[in-house]
Amino acid sequence: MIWVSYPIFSIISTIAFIVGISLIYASISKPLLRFAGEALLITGIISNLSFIIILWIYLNRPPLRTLGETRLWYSFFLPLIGIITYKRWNLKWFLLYSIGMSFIFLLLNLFKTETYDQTLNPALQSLWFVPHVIVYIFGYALLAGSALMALNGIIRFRNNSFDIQLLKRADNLVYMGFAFITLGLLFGALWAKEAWGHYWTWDPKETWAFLTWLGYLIYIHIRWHLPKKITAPLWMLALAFVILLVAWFGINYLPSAQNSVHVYSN
Amino acid sequence: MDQSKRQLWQFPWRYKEGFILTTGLWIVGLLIESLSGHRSIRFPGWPFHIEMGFGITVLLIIIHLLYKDSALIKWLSSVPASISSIVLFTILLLAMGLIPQQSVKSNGTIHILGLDRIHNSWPFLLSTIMLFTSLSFTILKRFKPPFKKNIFFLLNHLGLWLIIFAVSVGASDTKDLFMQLEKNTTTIVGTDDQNQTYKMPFQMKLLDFSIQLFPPKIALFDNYTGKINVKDKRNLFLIKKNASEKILDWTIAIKEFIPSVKEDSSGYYASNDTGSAPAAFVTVYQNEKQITKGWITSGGLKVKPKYLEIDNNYSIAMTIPEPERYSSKIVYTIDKHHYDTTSIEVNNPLKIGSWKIYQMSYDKEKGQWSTISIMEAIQDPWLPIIYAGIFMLFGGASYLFWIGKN
Repeated sequence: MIWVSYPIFSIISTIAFIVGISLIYASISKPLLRFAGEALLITGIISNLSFIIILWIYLNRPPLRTLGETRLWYSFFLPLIGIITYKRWNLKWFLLYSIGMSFIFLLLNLFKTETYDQTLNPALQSLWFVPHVIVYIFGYALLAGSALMALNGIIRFRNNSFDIQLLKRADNLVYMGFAFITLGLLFGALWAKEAWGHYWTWDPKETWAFLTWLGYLIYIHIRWHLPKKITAPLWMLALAFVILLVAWFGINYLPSAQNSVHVYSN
Repeated sequence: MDQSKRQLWQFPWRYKEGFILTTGLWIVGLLIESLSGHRSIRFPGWPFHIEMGFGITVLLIIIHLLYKDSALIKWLSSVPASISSIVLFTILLLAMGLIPQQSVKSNGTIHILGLDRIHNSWPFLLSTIMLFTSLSFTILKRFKPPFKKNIFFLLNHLGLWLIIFAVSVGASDTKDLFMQLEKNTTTIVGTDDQNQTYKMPFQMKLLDFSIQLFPPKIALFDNYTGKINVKDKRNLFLIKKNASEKILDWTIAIKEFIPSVKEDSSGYYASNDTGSAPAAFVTVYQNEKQITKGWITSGGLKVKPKYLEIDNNYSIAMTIPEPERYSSKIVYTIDKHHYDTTSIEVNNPLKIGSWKIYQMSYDKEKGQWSTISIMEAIQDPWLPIIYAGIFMLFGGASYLFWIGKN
């Protein structure tokens, strides 16, 4: 059974990722170390991809049907998008986050061997499932980062130590996070259309995801139009994150959402 | 320094006027809703909707060309106007997220004000019109050379505009019909949600319905509430012979599992006949001591459900197996000339001309012996425009990610 060779590939990528990211963190003013670190990260990504390709050939179909198979895609895409974002924006913490998240899926696959054959329910067996979840994993992380900055900003403003650069860096995270959640919303719509013929059904999760999108949309427009204002945008950023949290977890507890298909319960 | 303060309603308008106008719009919407007698808003059909859609677009372009320097149009294309309209829309959506929608329990006021069906209410419609107007003038303001500079602004805003336009104008063109297929019977009609039947431009016959079920699960449920106890995440687990799992204080061992049984006076016997159900013999231990043992089954048409009581508070039961995969093998004919045999399943719809056929459901009572397959046939002629809008937004979002602010 081809999965018996999975540990080899995952150990290669694990070592490559751990050493790679350590080198990157240790590489301040040492470009050679950074280059070596990045090369190792790419090796790790190739190792993950190789197993997927081998499995694809062995199964004679795209590996998208079981829980174990989808986890392979998470462990592949998370570091890939992480490294692209890190190269573009020099965000080491984001790289660490992406690799950390991909480890979760890698470890789950290493230790929960019963999931290799555990077929997902029919609606989840779609090309759009993995991209939809991945962009939300990234989007939420970036927007959480901006929320932390908002909190930081509110505290600094109270202590008269506020610097407008903080808001500008938050803006950048919001732009990136907003881009990801826009993709997430749209991927979800395209998936729904393929699965049951309707791209939007006003399911509570969809409504709250849309609300999250609108919250950040309003923030982006306010920052564009009134760049000198400080307290209003800081509080709006914090409020937008509260809406995000409701969309993510809160709907499990809202009375209005009990019949949602997205409520994660038994 | 001369600081002459601008009076309210004195041009150029900004945020205060925007919020007053949108609040007024909302109140007007609530009034119309409460006086209109709970009729759902139906968009005009062919050909009025096309005339209306293009008429409005042309009107907006003309107004822009003639009056773009007027104070009112300048305001409508400004950020304060857009933020005011987005905020109104957001507040309506917030109400939609917090108030249970389409619930039979909604009381008088909520129902009269349309708060239990917000997305089909007058405030929502007026808010969408306001958003659409502000978006249109914003786009028209920036729709000028050099286009390269404005390309990503236009991708984002025009993409959204196309989606709102196509969804609103095209709403009445979307046809959504159910076709109930029965084995070896040809079906030529579809039924809508008002139980009206329509003749389809194709015929379909169900040759075979196949379903693969997951094994059932063991669940611990509360005797008093009848609900599955979910405090322990490992509460539900798939049944496999000789498996044993720990739930709360107990260890449940599966001594015997028969995927398909029927019952007679002497107990369960393996059978694949219609109406069979899965059954398992379980033993429950606590601290290595055997507490109880017995057969459990999820029940089926010919088998009574059976659960095992552990103590006063809890019992063990078997869940009805969930579908792993189900599909319908069908043969369809168009105009008695072209025909084809194919398979339809969830996430794999069939395209026949301008229709798309989706596997919706089956006879869940009969489960794997269902001789009925329910298809949903959807015709969505405006979909290409919506996809164009969606892909423009993909482009705009990629730009947002790559370029960031500035």
